[in-house]
Amino acid sequence: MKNRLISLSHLKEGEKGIVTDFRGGEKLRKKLDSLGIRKGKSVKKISDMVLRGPITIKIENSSRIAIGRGMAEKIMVRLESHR
Amino acid sequence: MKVLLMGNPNVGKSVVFSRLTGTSVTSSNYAGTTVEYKKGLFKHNGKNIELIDVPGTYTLDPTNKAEEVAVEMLKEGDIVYNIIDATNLERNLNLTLQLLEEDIPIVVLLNMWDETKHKGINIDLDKLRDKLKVPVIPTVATTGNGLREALDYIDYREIKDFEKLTSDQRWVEIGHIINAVQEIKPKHHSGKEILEEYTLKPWSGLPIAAGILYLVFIVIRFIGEGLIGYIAEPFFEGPYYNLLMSISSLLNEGSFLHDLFIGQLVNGQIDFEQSFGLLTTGIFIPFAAVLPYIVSFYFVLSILEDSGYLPRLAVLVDNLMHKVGLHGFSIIPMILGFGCNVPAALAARNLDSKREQFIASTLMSISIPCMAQTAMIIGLVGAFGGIYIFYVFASLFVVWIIVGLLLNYFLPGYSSDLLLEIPTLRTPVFKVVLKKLWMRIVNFLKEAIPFVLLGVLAVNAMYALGFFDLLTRFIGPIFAKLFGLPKEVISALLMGFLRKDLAMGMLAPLNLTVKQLVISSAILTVYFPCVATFIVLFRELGLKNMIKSAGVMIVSAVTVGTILNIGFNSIFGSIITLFSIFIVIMILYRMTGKKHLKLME
Repeated sequence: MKNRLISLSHLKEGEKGIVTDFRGGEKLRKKLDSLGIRKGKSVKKISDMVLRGPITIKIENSSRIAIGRGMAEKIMVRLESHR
Repeated sequence: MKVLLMGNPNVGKSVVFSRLTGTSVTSSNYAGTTVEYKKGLFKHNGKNIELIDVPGTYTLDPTNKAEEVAVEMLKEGDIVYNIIDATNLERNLNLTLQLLEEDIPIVVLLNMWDETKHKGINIDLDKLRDKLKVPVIPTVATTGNGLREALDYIDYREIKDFEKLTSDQRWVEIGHIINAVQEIKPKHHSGKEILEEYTLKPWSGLPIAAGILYLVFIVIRFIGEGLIGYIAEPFFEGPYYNLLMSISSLLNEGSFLHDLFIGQLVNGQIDFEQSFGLLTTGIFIPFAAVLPYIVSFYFVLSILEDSGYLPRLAVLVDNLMHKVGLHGFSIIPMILGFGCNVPAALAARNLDSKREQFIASTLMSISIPCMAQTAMIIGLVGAFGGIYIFYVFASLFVVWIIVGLLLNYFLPGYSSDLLLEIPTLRTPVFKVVLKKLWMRIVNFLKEAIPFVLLGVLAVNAMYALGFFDLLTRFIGPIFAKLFGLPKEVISALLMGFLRKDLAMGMLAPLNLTVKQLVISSAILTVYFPCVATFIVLFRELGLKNMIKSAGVMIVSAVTVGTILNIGFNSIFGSIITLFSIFIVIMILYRMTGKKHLKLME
């Protein structure tokens, strides 16, 4: 069982995780919330730019969001098991 | 009557706007801000309607400048047409519910209705109307379907009573609505979706980006040269030339008015590039030399924008841009600069902070040669072999990196992280592209032409006052020593202040060696922007920052000229130069990285 929290930036390409916590201030949470990234949402990582570039995720089969590495490190997810 | 179009970014708001309005559209800045919005007028059932394309917003609890403006604008409207993406109902309803809490009538346009079927989404319209208590109209903006029905509600004035919810309560409410109205049948990845993801992954995305950019420049050149060869030149060298020659004989060569309007005759003829009169060079430069490229450039850019590709490019270059204190989206002014530096300097105002605007405008004017200059570099330097063109552009890129790293290190603050929705790729709607092109050309003419005319006047005045002779005498010897260039090159540099491609042309008869040509081309790009860009920078940055920016330019030009001169002298010189450049970049890279970490704590 993989139940520990990892940051979004540690998710591997193609892996899914449930957003569980934000290691940042209220401003960050608000910004992400308006884009549809909030606790309980399932996100899938689709790309990880080389040299610590931004990360692109897909939220529950709807929109794709690119997130700078620094911000992605503050978004904690619980790894979903593969099917 | 004021009608506001509001919605999340990338929901087709601009397409609805273009469909509803005619040619009377303007784009302006919201009072006291740098946020742009579009306004258009049209008649409906005999009434004058003012339609406002409010900047895209995800929430009414503002998280950026554009959203603050959107909230301000809400107070001025009579009715809001809230455009939502039917394929992304949940997130879009967040804004809708917030709008419903406000004291303003709302009509909801459920856009991209056609795409719901492909994605296996089924929305029960009656139930949604019932939940939201306002008119909900399914639309397909790209074809115009449903927009007529939407206009039937233009006099809708009912304001429903919704209690104010907290953010969490609102998401719960949205969850109830979604459960009641929407059904999703899971579908497999379509081919398009797979392609879309390939544009974002580094190993496939970067080559795709390089290919697209290459294609973009080929097409821009092709259209631009076509417009010049078949429209601009025949007109200027035919009827317009004849008209000016008769004005010239009316005014008498040498009189004050002749000097002002026509300028100097070259062998008894008007030379559009050397006469320097307001009606000759002053009109020729903006209309015949620059405008065709601007038209072609904006045409291609609008297609690129409407296809949804640009945000992908921003993701791909984000980390490079971060190193120079910018972020992915500042690639836009850089790309614009390759067309003409003037609109690029204007576009830099849309960046997040003053710091980013300063860095972006400075870097852009230092190392991005405009289309006209690029064409001349290719013609002149390229005659000696393609590798020399590479030398020029490689030098410019190195300057871009080093100056960027330095600015990022020494200017207080750091660049914000990227957070960007990546829209799906779409086929642009031709009508919308044309309308955008039209607005941009009108804006360009309004903003750039006065500057070019002013520049022609300024150069005339400096010639008359003997300013240029003085400059040549003082700078000449320095030039010879540092750059290994004959002092005649200085007159070309001075010309470059007015127009860079012409300045390149003045290098042609000087019989320079290829080394001298490479050095002059690099210096000519770096040392100063043309006068039109200069004036825009002055207006956008203010006097103090403009002087700072100009200082950076001059120092960079002297440095790059000297280093190239040394680097080209011998193989030994080249190796030492390349090695030291590498070391300098590595050191600066580490320094900015450390600064960033410190600020993050």
